[in-house]
Amino acid sequence: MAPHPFPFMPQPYILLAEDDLTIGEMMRLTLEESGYAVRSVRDGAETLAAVEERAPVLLFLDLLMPKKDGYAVLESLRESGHAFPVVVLSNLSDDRSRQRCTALGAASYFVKSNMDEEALLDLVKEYARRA
Amino acid sequence: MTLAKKILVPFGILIAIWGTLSLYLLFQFADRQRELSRYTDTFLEIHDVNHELANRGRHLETDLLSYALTGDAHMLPSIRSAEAAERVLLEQLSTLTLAGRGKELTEEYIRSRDKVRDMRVQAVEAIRLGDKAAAGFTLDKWMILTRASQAKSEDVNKYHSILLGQHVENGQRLMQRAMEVSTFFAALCILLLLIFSFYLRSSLIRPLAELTRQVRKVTEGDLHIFPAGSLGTDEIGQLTSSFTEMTAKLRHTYRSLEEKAERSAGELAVSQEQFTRAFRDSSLGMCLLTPEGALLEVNAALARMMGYAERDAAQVRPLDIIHAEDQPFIQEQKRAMISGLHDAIQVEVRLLHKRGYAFWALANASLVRDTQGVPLYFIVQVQDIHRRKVEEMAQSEFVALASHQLRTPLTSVRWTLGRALRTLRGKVDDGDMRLLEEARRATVNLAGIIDAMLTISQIEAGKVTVRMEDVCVRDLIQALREEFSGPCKEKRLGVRVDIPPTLTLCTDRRLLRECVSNLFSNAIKYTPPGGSISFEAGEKGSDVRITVSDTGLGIPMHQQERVFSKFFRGDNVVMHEPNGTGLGLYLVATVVRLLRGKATFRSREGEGTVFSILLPKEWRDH
Amino acid sequence: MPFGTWCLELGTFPCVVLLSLPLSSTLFFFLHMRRPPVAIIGLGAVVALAGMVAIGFFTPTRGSRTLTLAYPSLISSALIYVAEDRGFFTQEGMEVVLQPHSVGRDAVRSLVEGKADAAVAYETPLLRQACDGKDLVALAQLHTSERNTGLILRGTGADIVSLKGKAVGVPRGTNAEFVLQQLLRFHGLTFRDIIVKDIPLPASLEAWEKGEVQALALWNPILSDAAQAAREQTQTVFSDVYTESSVLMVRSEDSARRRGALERLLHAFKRAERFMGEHPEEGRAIVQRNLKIPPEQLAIFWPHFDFHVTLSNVLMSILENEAAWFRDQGECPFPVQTEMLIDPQLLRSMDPLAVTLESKL
Repeated sequence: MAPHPFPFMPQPYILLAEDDLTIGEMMRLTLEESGYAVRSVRDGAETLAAVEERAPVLLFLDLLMPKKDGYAVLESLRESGHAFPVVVLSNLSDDRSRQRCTALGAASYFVKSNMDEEALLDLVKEYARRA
Repeated sequence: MTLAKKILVPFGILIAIWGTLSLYLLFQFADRQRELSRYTDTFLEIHDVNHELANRGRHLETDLLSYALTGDAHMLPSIRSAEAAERVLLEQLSTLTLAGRGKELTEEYIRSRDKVRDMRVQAVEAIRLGDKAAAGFTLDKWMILTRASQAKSEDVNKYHSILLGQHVENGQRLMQRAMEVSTFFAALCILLLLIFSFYLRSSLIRPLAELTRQVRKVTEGDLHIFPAGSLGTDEIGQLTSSFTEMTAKLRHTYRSLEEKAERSAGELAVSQEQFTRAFRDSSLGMCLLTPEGALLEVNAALARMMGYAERDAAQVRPLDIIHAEDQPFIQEQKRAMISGLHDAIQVEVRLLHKRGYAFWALANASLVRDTQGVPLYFIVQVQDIHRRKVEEMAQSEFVALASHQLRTPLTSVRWTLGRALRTLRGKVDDGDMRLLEEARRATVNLAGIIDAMLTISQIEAGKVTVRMEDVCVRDLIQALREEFSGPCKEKRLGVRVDIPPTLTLCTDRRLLRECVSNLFSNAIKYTPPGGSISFEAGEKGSDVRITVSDTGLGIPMHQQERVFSKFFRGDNVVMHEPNGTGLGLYLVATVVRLLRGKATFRSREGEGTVFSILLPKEWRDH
Repeated sequence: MPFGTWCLELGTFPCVVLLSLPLSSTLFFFLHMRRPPVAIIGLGAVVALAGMVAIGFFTPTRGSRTLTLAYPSLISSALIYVAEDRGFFTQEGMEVVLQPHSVGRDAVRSLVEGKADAAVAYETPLLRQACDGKDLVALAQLHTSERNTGLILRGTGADIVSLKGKAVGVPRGTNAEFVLQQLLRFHGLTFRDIIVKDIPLPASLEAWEKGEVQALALWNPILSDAAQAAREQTQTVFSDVYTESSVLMVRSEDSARRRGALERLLHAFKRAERFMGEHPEEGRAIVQRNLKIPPEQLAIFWPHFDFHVTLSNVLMSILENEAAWFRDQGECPFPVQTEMLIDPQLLRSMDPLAVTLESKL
């Protein structure tokens, strides 16, 4: 699918929640190059607003973000309910974070520094297949 | 004397006497009957002959008288024949022998008949001769003789009939007597049976009653039974005396047991006292919980720790003072202990102070069971580790955060390089490409180092709590194989898993996975393409051994002793694989130590390495 | 004591057994129960039982002990001599005073006059007294004989018919008289045809020797003494149709009143009878001793005697004959029922077999 210049088109899109510019940019480029519609947000509040606006087909969620962190987002999403999978991408590797996220409804949890950006694509394929 | 003899002997005697008596009477009666029948026959014969003789006599009388009157000689032949018949009869009569007076009378009678005959002959002669005078006299005499003869005949008959009557009477009397005797004896037998029943009562029923009484007493719990006099030497008596003996022995045994129990109770009381004091006065917070989780006892230290007055502490529900988030875990641990998975645990848990705030505590809990293995109560020792924990957490948060801070730029670099490698392929020469690749690999290495360091620091800080669970070894390794399938495929490495599917061990799943994962990644890293890695696992005594073998570069002999030290990398591998962390095996060693196991290896340079970790099957607390 | 006697009747063996049973069971009982009162009761019962038996055994029948017996000193009284000699009377607990007479007639007279309690005589004196209205009753025959009382005649071949008009000596009122009458009758004679001389017995022999009588009707041993004493040949004739009996008689009322004593008397005679049967030689010797008859003489007479304690129809028929004779003579003023003369009950109760008499009593 050709990349769409306008981010608010009513088509399936992947939501990226990442406060680091470089990393966010990397992720967006990687996904868009593969033809996925992507929307990037930089904090928790934006994430929730975007979801509210239009639900994505997949959410890549960072944990440590300003305004609302990933946990808050997860909590909120859990309360409101969501149909799309949430994949937590964090650089926290401790069990507690992992468990907490799983408890809050995250579909999976990955440590960013332990993966290549290409892995993102695999994940998308995986969850697309699942959906 | 046995019971059988006691009963059978009197019966036997009775029957013997009765039998003898009956036989005696029977024989007597049979004798008499025989005599009687013999006599009856004879008598009847005598009677018949007499009767016949009397008839003949009468005929002769009539004949003679008519002859005397008529003088008719034609009467003579009949007279003569009658006389002949008379002679025959008389002879017959004389042969009927019954010795004694009967025979005398019969002979007298026969003589008298002879006299009658002689007189009759004379008379006939006189009549024939016509001598009326002589005839008259002779007839006269003949008449008198006939009367006398008749009298004698009557005597004979009467005598024999009396004799017969006597015999019959005797027989009847005997019968009657026999019946009387039988009746008498029957009455006697009844009397004897009554006596016997009394005797039986004393011999059988009374001992049985006594026995029953004793048994009942014992059943009700009263062991104070004593022998009730001599109860005979038969089986019942023996039984009763054995029972009494047995009860006496039981009594003694009970008494000694009671004494022992008292002593034990005393000792128990003493030890209980000691325990109670230890419990009460301990500076460590301690409490006793029921298997259901209710509070049995709480000591002053714990009450103080929780912020309750000592008397209020007893009212507290343990579940209420555990932090909500930790409750499920605590419940699980409790269940695990009750089910026998662990005997004791050590957990860090957040408790709620009376004032409302939560604090970290270290709880050591052990489950006490009774002799049958039924859970009695938990003994829990609680320490306030809040400050330490908070410090630890702060520290670990710092470490985590630091890791995070390290990882963020690392991620940028790694992904950027990755992207650059993709986008610049073909646009940049191979040398630069290689450099970019090297750089990317360095980021991967760095990520690994950060991970390892994070883990190691956690372990070294003692922060890592081992969460025991049953781990299926094969599943774990299969999962790892899935995870590492990419790199394996890349290097065309054959992976073999030879583990029985039922092999399980009780250990921390995550840590074990970390261990094996490290070994696996080492194997992948240090095995040249086309090699093979194989996983084996099996029980070895009370341990489980997991082996990771590879056909890799191996470890040089002279360096093998430093294998598990921090940041060690073999000389040989550095060249082949510059991106090793050197921490992997240290991590493995640390984790294995934490899991109370042992890690060993065998290696030959250029051939391959076999790493083995030996972990206890069951988590043992020492 | 019927139970005791019944027990004895039963026989020794069963009696012992039956007695031992309660005894043994009581002892057994006693041993096992150890209840003295009950055991004592049991023992007492056994003792009582034994006592009854003993009493039954030892109690003699009651009755007085003394009896005077009048009898003729003749062979026919053999049982008396034997009983006395062997002490059977004392063994029966009786004191029998023997009162000998020369003839039975006198013995009976003594009875009638009350000088004796019982008498033994031939049947004729009994009938005579009965005809005189005396109430006598016969209890038993003690002997019978058919050739004891007879007639001795002078001369051989002499016929009874030749006695017509001659003197014949005979003690009146004895059975010799009856025999004489019978013999005469068989020859067509009566007492009117002869001269009857009633000589007392001791004088009979003298009279015979003196030739005062042509014939003598008597019994042995006098009869044979006469035969021996005669200077000429004699012949002794017996009646074919006569059986003499010696009879034990008592006053009619005594037969009930003195029943016990009479029973014992008869028991004694019974014993004598048994003795005679078992030891006939000894019996004869006793008679010989008592009567002082030369043994060879006694040996001749002895076989003709029959010593039994009986009551037979023969006696009855003889009594009837004699009664008929008395009536014919007109010598029986009182009507006599011969059956009433005999009381067989006593003898029958002792020995039923001895009473072959058919009697209404």
